[in-house]
Amino acid sequence: MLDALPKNLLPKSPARAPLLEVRGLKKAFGGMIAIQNVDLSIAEGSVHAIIGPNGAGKTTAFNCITAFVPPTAGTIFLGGARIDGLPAHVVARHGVARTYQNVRLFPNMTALENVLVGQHRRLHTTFWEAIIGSGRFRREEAEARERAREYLAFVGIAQRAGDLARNMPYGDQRRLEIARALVAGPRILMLDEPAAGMNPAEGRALVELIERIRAELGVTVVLIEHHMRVVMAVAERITVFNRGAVLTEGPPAEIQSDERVIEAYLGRRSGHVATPVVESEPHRPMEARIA
Amino acid sequence: MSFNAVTSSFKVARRRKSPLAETLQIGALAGLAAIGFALIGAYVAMDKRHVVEDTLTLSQIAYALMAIAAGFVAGRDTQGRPSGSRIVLHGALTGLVAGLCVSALMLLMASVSLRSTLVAASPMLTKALSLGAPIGSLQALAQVPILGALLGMIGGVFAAMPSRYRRALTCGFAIVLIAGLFRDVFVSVLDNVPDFNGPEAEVFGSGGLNRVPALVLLVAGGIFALLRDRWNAGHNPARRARSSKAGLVLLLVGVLILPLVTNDFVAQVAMLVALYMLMGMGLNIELGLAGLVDLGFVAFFAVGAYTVALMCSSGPLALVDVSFWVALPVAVVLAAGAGMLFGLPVLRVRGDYLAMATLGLGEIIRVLVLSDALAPYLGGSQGIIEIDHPRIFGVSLQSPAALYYLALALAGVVAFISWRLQHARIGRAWLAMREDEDVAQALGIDPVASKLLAYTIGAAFAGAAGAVFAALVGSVYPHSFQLLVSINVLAILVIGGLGSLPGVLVGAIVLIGLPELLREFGEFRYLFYGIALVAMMHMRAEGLWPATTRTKENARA
Ligand SMILES: Nc1ncnc2c1ncn2[C@@H]1O[C@H](COP(=O)(O)OP(=O)(O)O)[C@@H](O)[C@H]1O
Ligand SMILES: [Mg+2]
Repeated sequence: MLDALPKNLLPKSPARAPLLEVRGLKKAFGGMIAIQNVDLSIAEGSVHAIIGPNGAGKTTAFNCITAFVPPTAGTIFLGGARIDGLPAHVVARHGVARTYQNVRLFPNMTALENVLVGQHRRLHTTFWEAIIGSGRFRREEAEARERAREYLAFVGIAQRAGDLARNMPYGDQRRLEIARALVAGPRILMLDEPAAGMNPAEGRALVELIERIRAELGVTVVLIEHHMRVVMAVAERITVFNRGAVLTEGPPAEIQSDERVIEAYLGRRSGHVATPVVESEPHRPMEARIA
Repeated sequence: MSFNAVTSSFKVARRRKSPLAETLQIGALAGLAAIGFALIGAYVAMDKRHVVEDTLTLSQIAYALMAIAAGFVAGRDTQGRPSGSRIVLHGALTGLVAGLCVSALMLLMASVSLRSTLVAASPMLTKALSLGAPIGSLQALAQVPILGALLGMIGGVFAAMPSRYRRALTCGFAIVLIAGLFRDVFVSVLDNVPDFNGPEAEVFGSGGLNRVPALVLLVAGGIFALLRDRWNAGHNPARRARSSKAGLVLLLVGVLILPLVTNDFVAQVAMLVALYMLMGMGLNIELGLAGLVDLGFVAFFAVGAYTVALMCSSGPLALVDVSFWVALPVAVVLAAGAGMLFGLPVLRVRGDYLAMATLGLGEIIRVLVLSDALAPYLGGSQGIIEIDHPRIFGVSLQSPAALYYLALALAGVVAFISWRLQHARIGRAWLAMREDEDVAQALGIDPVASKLLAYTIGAAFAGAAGAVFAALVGSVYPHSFQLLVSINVLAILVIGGLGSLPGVLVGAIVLIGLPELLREFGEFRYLFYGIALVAMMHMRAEGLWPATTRTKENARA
């Protein structure tokens, strides 16, 4: 399998098997081609960032991988199993979990209930057992609640268990979304702009959370992010999207100094030596700077 | 469903005018409403009904409410809270204008005969509006505007007083109104209480409440509301939960003993309420939990009813003649099977299209039963008659009270099942689907499978309700399975609060029970029903007993 990959996609540092492999992904909305020829290879156990100007097609790539929208062309493998063409709930059962650019919680349910829904595929009692209230059902229910509280504590919002999701502060909503995704026990967690709207302190806490997700839970993380401090702090590899295609891919240091990346963000303005990618303030998203 | 979107469209932004012009306009609007009320004949019809014996009739209360409401709106709109004199003045002014409109109508009726075009503009109306004063006299013409001004002033004061007292007054008044309006129910209860027939102790007169008991109830209701407010003070959720639980227990106790302490008519109404509750519980799983808008609910009700009819009738069309208790599970299973069969192709469509598809189903079943092909088996429009009453330990359940308990017991079972499912994996999946189907699916929930399960269970419950219906009525006809039944059940859920089990009970009582008890007002009750529903959706769109309190409590447990 690895032999078939183009040279530039082969992992450079310690060879780890790719968990997620995307080949030739294309998505067209009517006549508008949002992405095409997208190849991605995410190493198992890594934190991989996807960056790129607004409208570059990053979210669309996420949507295709999670079967939120059907891809127009391309293949997607997760741990060697082909997952493109499967319905979204089956993809989820393969171990793909995600968050959304615009937080999408169940607003009228409590934080605890949101995380309980996230455990759907971990619970197994049938509805007959639920009706008669069997011992197994009650045990599993108690365990599910316990686990929900654990994950709320893991992301740092244990005290919010009883709050309705819609009444929670924005930062906590983002954390709750991560807890809901993690509680299913995924192999890969896809975060769409998790630091959006966060202040520098919250951004640092997020970096720490992502490291713990990888280290303590062993979950591979892919994140789309505009806050370069967050990206540089957590990502082992970075893929740059531009105009619906992959511009380049590499370790942070390489991406930071890549002329084409700077150009993609700034438009073609020759003679500009600054590296805005690194200097951008965390609470001012990159897109604000694009002319 | 976006009922919020629908109801919020009623919220018309009010333009700011000079306060005086606005006050006059409100008064004129109230006056027009009062004239309309009289000219459709509602005033005369409702004037026969005394709420407080020989003192206040229902239509007088309606008029008073119009004036008070006008004064309330006028009073509320003046921004300066402390300038009480202005609130009173503006309130009085609106009431005066409204009263003048009514006087104008009386003058008009005295000078021109409107009867050829407006049947309701009869001498009876003039007499009723004169409130006992000589017809056409100055007193008759002057007293309505004066009373209007007085009541408008009360409305203005009402708007200005602390909300605590406002709630207390509303509560006391509501209790008097309910007691007076449903006099017959309460009288039948009192009749069953021993040692309660001394004429001095009589609470009710021949038409409504007597004066002293009315006053006592008003005060008692007010004190009750004040005490409840103090109990709930400080937004203490545990206390609130407890008082909500206490309310539920009271409601349940009332529901349980009702037919024992009243007469057969009330028991019959209660039976109908219980039947609709059973259906409401079924649709609650589909619509309240899973968010499926099902307008063909009555189809599965019909499947259940016809199953029992074919299995328990002693008539010529019966296939077998077995006990109701054998037929009931068969009816449930057949209805569930029909639900699954129909749901498979239909549940792939979303939202509004589902409503359309299910709407078709309800009609198809009725047309099928009426069709020539099936008439020899199902009796066509002649229906199936002579269905045996269910028996328990050899005793035939025939009295309305016994049948009421049968329906209530089944509703209890169904409520228990719903409650259990609601707090299990599948129930949470339904709620998640209702909130955001795409996200729910991305969490591993199979949307079609879980919708199908909700639909099948809903159909099974509808089948149970149909089975009970056949046994209650003793006969089934196609015309019992109209679209209106589906819509009524839907309305019960919306009124009670989507996804709320106590809401189903409250909704069934309000929407099915009350209209039966108010039959004397004929078609007018639907008019006021419509107005009340629109007003309710406007002010309390989440239902009378909303489900969110449950969610919050549940999480704290
Ligand atoms: N559902 C959709 N329908 C039509 N166009 C879409 C849809 N989703 C995304 N697009 C378009 O695809 C392009 C890429 O969008 P997106 O993937 O959201 O970019 P990014 O996440 O990189 O900012 C944009 O031009 C966007 O307008
Ligand atoms: Mg995006």
